[in-house]
This record gives sequence, structure tokens and C-alpha cells, in this order.
Amino acid sequence: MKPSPQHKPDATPPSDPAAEDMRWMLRAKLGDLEAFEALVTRHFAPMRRFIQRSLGHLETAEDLTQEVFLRAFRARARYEPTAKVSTWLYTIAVNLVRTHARRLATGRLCPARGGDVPPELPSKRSCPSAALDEEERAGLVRQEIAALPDSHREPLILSFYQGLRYREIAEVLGCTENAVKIRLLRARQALHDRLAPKLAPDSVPPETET
Amino acid sequence: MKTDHHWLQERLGAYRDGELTPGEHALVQRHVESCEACRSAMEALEAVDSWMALTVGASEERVARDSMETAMANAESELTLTRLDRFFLRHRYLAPALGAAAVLVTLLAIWLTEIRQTSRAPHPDLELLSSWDALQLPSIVESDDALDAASLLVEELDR
Repeated sequence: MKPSPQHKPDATPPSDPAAEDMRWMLRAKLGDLEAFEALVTRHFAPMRRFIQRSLGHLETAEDLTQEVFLRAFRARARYEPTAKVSTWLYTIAVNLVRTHARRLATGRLCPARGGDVPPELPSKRSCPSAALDEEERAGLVRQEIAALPDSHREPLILSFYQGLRYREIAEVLGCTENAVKIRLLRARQALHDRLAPKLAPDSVPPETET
Repeated sequence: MKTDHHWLQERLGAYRDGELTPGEHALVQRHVESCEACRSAMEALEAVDSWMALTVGASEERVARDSMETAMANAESELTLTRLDRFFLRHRYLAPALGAAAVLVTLLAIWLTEIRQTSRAPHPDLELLSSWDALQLPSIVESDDALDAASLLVEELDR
């Protein structure tokens, strides 16, 4: 089913996408599938990117993203237009990612082929950063992000890649804005400590006194 | 407002992300210009952001149309579920529980019936008593006959 032209996000650039999301969600609440499809069209790719970055596997990310929207649709009756739809969807996605990661950790799920674990890229190699091509450098960065604790990785991905404001991240993760601020700073400092020796051997270590 | 070195350093990330109030932003900006350590820390944050930017590839921007269509198909099938389907999906353990309850009730009924039949059957001692009664009965009958015979004899004599 295709969304009607007025629902298509690309048809006319909305002045306030968040308000438009809420309108679509309220219509979806009444069973309007076209409105829900407009939401899927707008938010599927960002949700999938978030899950893929959190888990490191495209196919798992696509499955879990479908689950995000199924859960959102099932819970549509409980949606109240007090929160942004995107924030609500990210909250569902974060919970799904945590559950998936916990099942992987406890052995209740097998890692998907070729994924769900960060790729073993050049971190084990002792080559100078100049010898690393861009893809290898990116692989190193992905690996170090994946190695961060959840409390640091989640706000980092939501902030840097998904472009959420601190207030929205706090809402998604159920913590204070101040906690988000500190976690993000610590995450970046940890990444710098781990990556600088490999990617910028000549860089001066930052002052990390607290 | 407490604005020592540590307070300002904790806000470097938020400063870079544009998450400070205008007043805080100006304070951090002035401090970074004069503090070598904070300037170095700020450069480290910029380096991390540039490394993270390496991981934003074109491949990750690809939108899987099939996956989106599956998501919509899931929603559609959810919508077409009847109220009864939804009830049983939500209470998927209800049917097995009802089945188990029915089996239990049947077993209980059978057990109660057995008990009732057992209680109706005469007690072994009662059976013994009955057989004794049966043995006594002919003597009783004989004594009745004797009475009848005696009464007949009395009638004959009266006549």
C-alpha cells in the first residue's frame, strides 16, 4: 500500500516533522495504515542504522527494525502525543537491542553469520596508521565503539550518528540530561585513548583529569 | 555559578555539540582560549568526531525497501486480526490452561464417582452379619411355622 501524496514525507517538506509524525501516529492509532506507512517510510532507515551500529549486523538490524515497527503498531493505542514519535521509536529500539544483546551474551541466541560481533579488523595488526586505508580505519573505529560499555555506546550512537539532542537521549535512555552529557564526554575520551595510538600516533594525549 | 576548570572541562563535549546555554557557551569558549589543557582536550574530541565520521558510509544509507514492505505487511496483518484472534494471541496460554483444567476436572469426577461407589458397597463386617442373618432366617421361619401350628391346634381344640 502506498501512502497518499499528502502523507509522503518527500511530497512537501514539512515545516515541523515532529508535529507531522504525531499527526500520523494519531491517525495510525485509529487504524490508518497509510499514516503508519508514512511513519515507516520516514523512520525505518534511521532506526535500522541505529540498530546496525549497535549490533554490527545488517540482517539482524533489519529484522529488529521490523520488530520495532510491529511493536509500535501494536502499542499505538497507548501512544500519547506528549513525546516525539522518533523518541518513542528509539526507546523501543534500545530495549530490543538490549534484549538481543543479552540473549547473545547468555547463549540463548547464536550470533548471526558474519555479524552481531564487531569485525576483527586491523586492531590486531601492528602497522602504522599511514598504512591503514580508510576502510580499515573505519573498521577500527567501529570495533572500539562496539567495545564501549552500553552506557557509553548508546548515547554516543544516538548523539553522533542519529543526531538526537541531549534531552531526547535522556528521554530514550531514561536518565538525566546531565548524565547524558557526562557519559558522552567519557565515551569520547575512552575512544580517544584507544584510537589515538593507532590512528594518530603523534597526537598529544588529552588531559583527562577529573 | 561554579565555573572552575573541572566544571568547564566537563562541558567541553556539550560545548562541541551545541548543548550549552548561551551563557555557559561563552564561559567555555573564553576558558578554552586561555587554558592549554582544555584546548588539547577539545582537539581530542574533534579528532574522535573525525574518526567516527569515517564510519558513515554510503552503504549504510541504503534503504532496504523489502524490509520496509515487510514491516508494513506485519502492521496490516496485525490490523486484520479479529478481536477474538487478538484475545487469544494476547492470552496464548489460555487454551492449554483450559485444556489442562478440563482434564483435571474429569479426573476428579472419576475419582469422586469411584469413592461414592466404594462407600455404597457393604462393609465386609456387614456382609458377615448379613450371612449370619441368612443362617438365622430358617429358624425364625420355623418358629413362625410353629406358632401357626400351635394356633391351628388351639382352634381345633376350641372346636
